Amino acid sequence: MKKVKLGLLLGLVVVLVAAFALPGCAPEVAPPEEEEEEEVPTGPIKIGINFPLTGAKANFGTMDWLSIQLAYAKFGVEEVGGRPIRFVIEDNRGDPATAKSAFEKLATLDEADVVLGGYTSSCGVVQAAAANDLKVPFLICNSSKDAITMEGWEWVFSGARVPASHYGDNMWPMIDEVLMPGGVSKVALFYEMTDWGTSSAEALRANFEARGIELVYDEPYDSDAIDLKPMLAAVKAAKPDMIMAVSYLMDASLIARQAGELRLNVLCFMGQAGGYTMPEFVVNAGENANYILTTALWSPFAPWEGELAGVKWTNQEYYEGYLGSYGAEPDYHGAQGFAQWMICLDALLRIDAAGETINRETIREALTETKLMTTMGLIEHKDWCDDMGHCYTNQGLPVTYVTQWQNLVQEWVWPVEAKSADYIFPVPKWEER
Amino acid sequence: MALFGQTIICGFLMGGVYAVIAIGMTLILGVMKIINIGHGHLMMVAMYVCFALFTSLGLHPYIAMFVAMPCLFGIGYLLQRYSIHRVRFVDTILPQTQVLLTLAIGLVFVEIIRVIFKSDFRSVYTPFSSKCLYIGDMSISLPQLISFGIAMAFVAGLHILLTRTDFGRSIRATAQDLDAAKYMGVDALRVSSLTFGLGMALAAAGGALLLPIFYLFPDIGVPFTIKALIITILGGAGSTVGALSGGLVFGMAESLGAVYWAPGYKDVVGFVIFLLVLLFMPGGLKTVIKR
Repeated sequence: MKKVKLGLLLGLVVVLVAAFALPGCAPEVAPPEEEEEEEVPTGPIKIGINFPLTGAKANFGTMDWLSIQLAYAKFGVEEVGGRPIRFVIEDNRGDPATAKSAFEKLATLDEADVVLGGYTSSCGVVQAAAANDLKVPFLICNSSKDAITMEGWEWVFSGARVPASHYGDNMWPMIDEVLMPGGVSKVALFYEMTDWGTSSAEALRANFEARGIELVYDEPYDSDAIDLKPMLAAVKAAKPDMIMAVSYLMDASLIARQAGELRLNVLCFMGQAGGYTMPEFVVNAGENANYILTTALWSPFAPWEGELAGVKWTNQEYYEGYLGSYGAEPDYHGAQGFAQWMICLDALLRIDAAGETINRETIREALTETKLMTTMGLIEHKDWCDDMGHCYTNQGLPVTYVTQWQNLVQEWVWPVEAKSADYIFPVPKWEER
Repeated sequence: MALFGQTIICGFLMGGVYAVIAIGMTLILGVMKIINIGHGHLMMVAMYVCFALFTSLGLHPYIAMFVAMPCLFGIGYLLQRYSIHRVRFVDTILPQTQVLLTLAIGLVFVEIIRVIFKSDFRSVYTPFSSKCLYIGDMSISLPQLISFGIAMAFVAGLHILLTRTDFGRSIRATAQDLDAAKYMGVDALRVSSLTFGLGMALAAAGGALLLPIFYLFPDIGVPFTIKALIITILGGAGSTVGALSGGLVFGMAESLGAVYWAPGYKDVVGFVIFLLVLLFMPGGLKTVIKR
């Protein structure tokens, strides 16, 4: 019995040795003379969608996604190069951890060819990092923290999105030409304390100080706070001439209401886009919204128009289309979403026209060559540096505006050549309204 | 001086509303020894009931509150009787299954509300929402003042209920010693179910009082659960006076923190209080008041 076992063991060893050694004895196989042909994908072109569609930030993400759908319907391109376009939707709930894992799922499990997303800067930062790591083209719609496109990430494209420190590009001329000569010399700056607010405040602070404007109040606040009156009472005590606020939607509404309750009188109240431009702002703030100025990244009156995929479009059509389809006015968030689908579609069509295969690499290459008129104006993905020493990659710079709520309607007041109404400055005191 | 006065007014008025929200939790914790993690979520449900009544029938939240409170009382009663009670005395792998159950119940309600109302922000804004009284340079929000008054009425009513009625004595007896109360003939299941319902009704009142001055979305419950828990620990479990004083102290601390420290870190003030009370005054303000 022992001999049989020994025999079996030896036999096994011989078989194993032969199995590993013999292939090595074979003559080397000559490499194929012809290169292997590139595998041509035949399935759908997958467009990943990664926005907050539920949760506290859903208003913004939903406006983006609805605008993308509007653009998809408008240009009517359902397939490119014989491959149907398919959207794969992930709701990140505005949570950075979920946004990152959703991006990874889109990139790996769903094998998305390109991803559109980016609302809240905190989500945009992690999505952009994941895009660069996983080598998936990522079109950012809204996330505006400067640093997102300052990392040299070649897979991240930010044509329609404006870096936070450039939201006020057209506000500064108004401050120089109107507000400062009108008596503004002391400013209270408060900002929500996430990436967007702090990134915005950094640029605002530097620009105010460069103009010799004294910051009599400069504090971050929690946008989820229930009662902002204590902060506003402290602002009132600082006696500013102007308020500069960086807020999301409901905190913006709460601030407007509670500033009115406290009779926080200033020469002007300026918001930094975000919640102050949203249609829901006036619904929730009521008449307290009146006279509030805000920077804005888009205007329905901007004369942008063009043709894509053989379909003519105008900026005004987008505004009316959104209003007609969804029964609500869009703001710049939606216009950015619409523009991003235009940019994406333009890239896909150019790749197809060049007879190339549509894949992540060719999409990335096409996006670097984007030069397209959109709802956000002419968009190009360029590398450039600004006065603050911020150097961006694949970054556009859409035109910005200043709007003012007048009689519960948002009017574009600056630059004057694009105005829909005259600005009101200084604003009436609360008790005189 | 005006700034200090305004800060105190803001903190005091907000603290009153916090007290009503927290008093439901303190009642449940005191009687049933359960931390109701779903407390804020159920308060949110009541806010949506008020919101629906406001948009459909035009009922102001102060009136709609008297519909929301019985609704939440019923929900609370049924939840306790048919779900929480089932796992309360059952040996399970996790020692606090009922706490997790309240969390799960709360999350289910959040998703149900999300399906019905979506995630959009809602608010009940009327011209009355911004009405104020002015004393010199200080303002007092009229809705907040009315909310504070109603809140105090509820706290006083609950205090009378607990101290002057047989049902209140049954609740207190159950809270002090469940077994002894049972031996004395108290129907503990009925008392705990009614207490849970009462706690939920008070949370509903707090939510309704908050609605004219704040806004609403399905995930609004979490911060209020945290605040209610801090106030409960601060005031001492099961004490109406403790919850009231805890709410006022907490509201005031938040307000002072926002003005004299930093508005971005006012929640830290609450958490520091939470930590200090747990370390140095585990019985809460209740023990100080008793002395």
